[in-house]
Amino acid sequence: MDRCCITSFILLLATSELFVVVLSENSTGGTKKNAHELNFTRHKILTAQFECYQKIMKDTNHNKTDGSMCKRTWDGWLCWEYMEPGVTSAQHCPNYFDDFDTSEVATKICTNSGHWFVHPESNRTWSNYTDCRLKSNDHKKTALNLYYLTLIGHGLSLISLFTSLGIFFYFKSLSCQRITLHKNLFFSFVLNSVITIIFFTCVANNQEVTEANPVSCKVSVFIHHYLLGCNYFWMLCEGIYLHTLIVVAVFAEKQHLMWYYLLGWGFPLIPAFIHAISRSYYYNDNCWISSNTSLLYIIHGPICAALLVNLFFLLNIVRVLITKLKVTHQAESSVYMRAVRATLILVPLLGIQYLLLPYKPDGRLASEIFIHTTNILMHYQGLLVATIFCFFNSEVQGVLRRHWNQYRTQFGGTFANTALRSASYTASSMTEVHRCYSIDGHMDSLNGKTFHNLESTILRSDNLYM
Amino acid sequence: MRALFPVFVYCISLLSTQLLALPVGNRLDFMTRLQELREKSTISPDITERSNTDHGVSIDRTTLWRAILSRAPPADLTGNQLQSTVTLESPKQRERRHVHSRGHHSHHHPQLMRVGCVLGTCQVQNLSHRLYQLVGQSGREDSPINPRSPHSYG
Repeated sequence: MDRCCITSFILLLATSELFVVVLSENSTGGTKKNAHELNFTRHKILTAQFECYQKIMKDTNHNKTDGSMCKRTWDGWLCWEYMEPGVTSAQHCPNYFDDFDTSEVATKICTNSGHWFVHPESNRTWSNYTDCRLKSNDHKKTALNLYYLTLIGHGLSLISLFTSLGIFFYFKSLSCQRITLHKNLFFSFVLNSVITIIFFTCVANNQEVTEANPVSCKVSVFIHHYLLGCNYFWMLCEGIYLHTLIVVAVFAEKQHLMWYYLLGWGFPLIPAFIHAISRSYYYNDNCWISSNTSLLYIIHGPICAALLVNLFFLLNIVRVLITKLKVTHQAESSVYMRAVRATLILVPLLGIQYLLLPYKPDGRLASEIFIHTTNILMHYQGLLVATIFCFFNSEVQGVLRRHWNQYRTQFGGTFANTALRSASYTASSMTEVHRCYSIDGHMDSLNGKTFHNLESTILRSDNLYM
Repeated sequence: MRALFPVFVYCISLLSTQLLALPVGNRLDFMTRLQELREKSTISPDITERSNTDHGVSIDRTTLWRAILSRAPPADLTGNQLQSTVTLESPKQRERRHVHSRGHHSHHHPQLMRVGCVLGTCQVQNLSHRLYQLVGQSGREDSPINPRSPHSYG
């Protein structure tokens, strides 16, 4: 019996060798690209076939004892394991062909009689690869639509964020702790958008790079993960700052920014390094581009933890805000309207929108809606935050308006305008001190110990987060 | 006669699968080569006699097959491409393809186990992976046969 197997397998190898010879002849005659394509596909199929036949040869004895099961078999594209009668076996589609979608499923039916399904029209054993090609084009369109949506979203975010940072850095009168935190958050948004655009255009959608698998593309993945973490942890810094200011100690001294820098720029290095090391050892695929690995939770676990902490901060801030506004005997509708407004403003700043849609649902349509919604919320968040916290900020608007008036006044040049300019300077100085150093303002008010000042202080706390 | 039966089964199985995967031109060349192989069939007994031990046979089989596979890419490929071509898929990736479902005499489509990141913050990773799957891998051709056809693979 051993001789029989040896003979048959040697002949099998000889036939395969002949096949390779034919392939070589064809490659010399055709173009380089055609040869490359043929080699790639044939090589993958032959590799899978070789491994399948290795399994079949190992189970020669086992093959005899289980006569009632469908046997392990190679169908030309995939290897199908032993299967009990009446069960359908399923695998993900192979990646041999350009029009096969590897996220779809190929199936093979083991009939009740213990034989693989035979197609009634051809009377040949048949595997169902229909779904592999059926929706491949639709999935390509969806992926490319999301790709362009991502690039446009991050592009618009970059424009608005650069403009905001320019305003924050140019007008020194806007410098204070809160604006400094905004600057760092906006800068992390900028870096995240830049690396995302680079990653998508140069790595994810680039055939040569992903196949060549250079070290630089893995470095870009590492940088992307680090800056992604920075972005979310600066949202956490904003949450900590607001929570400390409003809930813990409203009239505390200035907080130390060093801890915020450590949390925002330093801490995200840790999960990024851990992921890079783990990926090198346990799932070292091309460019680390696959998302079919649990190692990604090393990056996204801390991010979700930060978002949960921010959710707690948001709820607590809104609770304190409602309590304080009620103390001033405001109308109830006005109190709750202010609370709703505060919530809507703080949700994009703290990243709470990701918790409203926490994970992907089952089902084709629900999954599509989830993917598009989360992509929009993610890639346009920078634009939203810059719009709310810079362009709609009353202090920024005031500073811009004053400088515009000064600009116009300078070119007026008449004696009457000089008096107006002098008055404008006085008003702006008072406004700047009062608005930006609100903590000191509160302390001064408390020193006065008048009920009227205290009430004004509480009312002004409504605007602290902007 | 018994000894020849497995030989015929293997030949017919392999020939039918590979012929369908080949373009029409290659099929004709393949038939020509097959006829040449028959003329050389007298060599077979010598090969059989040389390999007596199982240990030797298993090593020769594996080594020979890998040598055949490693010769597949032409010499003009660059080093990087050569490495990527020769590299086998990692076992963990292949294992995930096999998922079996149990049904009481029904053949419903099973739900494969979901792998990967399902959190909302993973959209960039998930989208880049999908782009790589659908668009990014070069060197592949379209499938040679309509999978829906009754004469497709089995």
